[in-house]
Amino acid sequence: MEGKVILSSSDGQVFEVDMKVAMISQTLSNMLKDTEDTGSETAPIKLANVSSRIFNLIIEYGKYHVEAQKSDTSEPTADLKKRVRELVADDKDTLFQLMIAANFLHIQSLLDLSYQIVAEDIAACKDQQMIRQKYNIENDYSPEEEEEVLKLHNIFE
Amino acid sequence: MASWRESDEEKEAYTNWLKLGIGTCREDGSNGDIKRKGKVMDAEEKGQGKEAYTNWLKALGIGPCREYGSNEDRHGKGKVMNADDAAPKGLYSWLTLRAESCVEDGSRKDAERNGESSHCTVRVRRSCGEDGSNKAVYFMEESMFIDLIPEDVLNIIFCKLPLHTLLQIKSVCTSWKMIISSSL
Repeated sequence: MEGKVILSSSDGQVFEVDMKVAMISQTLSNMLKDTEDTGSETAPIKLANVSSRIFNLIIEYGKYHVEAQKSDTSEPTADLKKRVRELVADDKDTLFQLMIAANFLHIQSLLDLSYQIVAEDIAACKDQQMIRQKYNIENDYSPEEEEEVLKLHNIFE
Repeated sequence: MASWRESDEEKEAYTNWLKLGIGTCREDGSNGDIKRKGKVMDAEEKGQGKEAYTNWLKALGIGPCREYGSNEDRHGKGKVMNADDAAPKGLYSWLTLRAESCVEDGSRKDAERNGESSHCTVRVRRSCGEDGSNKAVYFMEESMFIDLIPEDVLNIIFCKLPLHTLLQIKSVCTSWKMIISSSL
């Protein structure tokens, strides 16, 4: 599929996106196919759940994704993950919104990478206290319960 | 809501949950409208299960919105939904209200601390965002990240972790322990 598609973010900003980039989204792909089938006019497709800031990141990711498919990179996933990390710049809010947008647009590869990034961030924490601090999770264990869970953990260690 | 809370155990759990919800409203003082109406009810007094739930919605000014008048002053530009329009919408209206009350006084954590499941919190926050009215609230908190991830997504994330880490993070909080235990 060649050409461009016009998309509009939730805050009204209009984007002209390469069809190849747009097609990484299953949602857009289906919408575009429907439009093609019905032969209706190509009015901007409104993405009510995606802000322009996040949509810019999605487009950047889409470009990387298309590039990675073309190139002979030995580890495309690792490369893409690095790129996504750069895009979100260690900002949890941005990562979260990116996940929401990827979920809405059905971009499975981006969703998987986002999950992987969160998993790695959790695994990088030294202990549970650090995880709680990082994600501001309250410890709702009673001292006795916590001791019991930790005891179990220590057995496995 | 046809098969509403069939078992006694569920009824009891739900009633406790209702009590916690009302308690929170009183504690954080953010539901002034409700207090003015003098309609803060106790779930225990008003019965269990569906009845308590209905009374509670009424107490929160959701069920009989039309009777009490509009909640627009409270919600401002937000889209206030009325329980009379459709049952699920009434619930969402409550969720929006609930989320606001959690956030207004900065005691967002109360909702979770008082026993509401993280899943419910997720829905609460989502409903804020959906109507476009409280997006600022939705994204303004630093701590929202993990709270807003639904349990099924957390499950996927946990599946990507090595067993050693999984055992370690079981002790982070009870909801994580439950998710991990169910997936192991």
